[in-house]
Amino acid sequence: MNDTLKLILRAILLLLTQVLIGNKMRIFGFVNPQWSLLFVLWFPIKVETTLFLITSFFFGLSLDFFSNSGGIHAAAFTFVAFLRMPVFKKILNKKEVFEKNFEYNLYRTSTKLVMIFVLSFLFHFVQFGLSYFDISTIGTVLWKAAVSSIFTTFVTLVVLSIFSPNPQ
Amino acid sequence: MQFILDLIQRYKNFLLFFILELIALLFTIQLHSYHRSKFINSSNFITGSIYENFVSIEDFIGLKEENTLLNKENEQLYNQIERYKTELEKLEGLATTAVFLQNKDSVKYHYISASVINNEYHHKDNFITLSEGEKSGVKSDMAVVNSKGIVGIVTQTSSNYSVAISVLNKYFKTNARFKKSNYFGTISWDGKQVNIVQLQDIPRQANIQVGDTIVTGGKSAIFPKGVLIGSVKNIEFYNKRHHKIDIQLFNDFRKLNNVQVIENLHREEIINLENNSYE
Repeated sequence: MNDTLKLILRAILLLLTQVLIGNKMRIFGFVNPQWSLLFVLWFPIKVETTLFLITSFFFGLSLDFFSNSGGIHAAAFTFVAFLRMPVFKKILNKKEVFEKNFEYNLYRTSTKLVMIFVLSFLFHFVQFGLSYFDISTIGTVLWKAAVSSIFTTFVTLVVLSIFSPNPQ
Repeated sequence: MQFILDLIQRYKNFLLFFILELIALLFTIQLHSYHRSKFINSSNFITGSIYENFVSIEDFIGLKEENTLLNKENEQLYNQIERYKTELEKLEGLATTAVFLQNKDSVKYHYISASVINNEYHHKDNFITLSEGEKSGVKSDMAVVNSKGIVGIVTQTSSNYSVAISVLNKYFKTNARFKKSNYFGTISWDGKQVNIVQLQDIPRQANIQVGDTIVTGGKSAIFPKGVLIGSVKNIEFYNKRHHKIDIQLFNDFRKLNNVQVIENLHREEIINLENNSYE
């Protein structure tokens, strides 16, 4: 299948499952696992960063349309997309291998876990930070971001190990 | 010049990142104002119809519970009709009947039924998407209620859908009073607990007890008088003058399904009149 088409279909599927199932889970009343983060994890690495940032922005914005959340998801997705490479490079510590041929399966579960947890924490931090929009609630924001990231990481890791397309 | 171009070329991704974040932030700031962005909300055609179709599955699961509720509501309405019938019979015997029947214009509210197709309660500012829009006569600033009490106020409409701010939203404020006494206050939400709102501005001399019923005061052109809100759950005294009153809502916002949108037929008249008298 054409790569672009695949990407679009994947985005739509992630969006719909996230909005119709993920955003209605509300574990402990506030935790919605954000497996739509897979959009960023699966996005081809060889594609230019410029395009990656713009696509992520619009992907996030389409989530905002569904959840009446202004630009919160757009901001969070752009943020995570921008930091994906730096975070991966920092954690994997082997730049050359990685840029030519990247596969999640090459790495141990613990490494994948750290990679995804860091990204999902950043994501949820921006998400809750913008939705509270109040510096005095930083404690709540950190706490909610941490708990949410645990669930997001778990779900994402499971999906990743089942489907595992690689962001070549 | 070349230097600047080089610089831009070098940091173009960071610049793009910065600009995108700025745009997102702008949308977010709009979200934090009462009348939000006209552009990003779930009352538009695509999001509306996706939610509506999915809700039909969820509806099916909750059918039994919903039926019981509707039955109860029917019962209440029948009782009310009976009461009015007797009243009417009494009146018919009187000479005032003619006057009474002529005043059909005095119908003040019109109800439009709608179902909730997307419901939020876990954010700090919550919104509800409804299945009816301008085509059914839903307009901005109409009240949303159900048989258990108040639900929200419509803020955005499209031709087929509308979005309302829920009671669980920091921009929601409405006038309320005690059912048994006539002390008025304001209902708002502190964003902490689902289904528990706060009642403020109640005069100090008011005699308040846990369990007292709170209804809408009818001092706004949005909610009719006497719609149920909740009961007093907790009273905290800050000092001798102020107290914080927690109200347990009769509605469970985790389970909203069928609601009624209320159009105040006299709203324009009231607002015009008020505007004229301020001039």
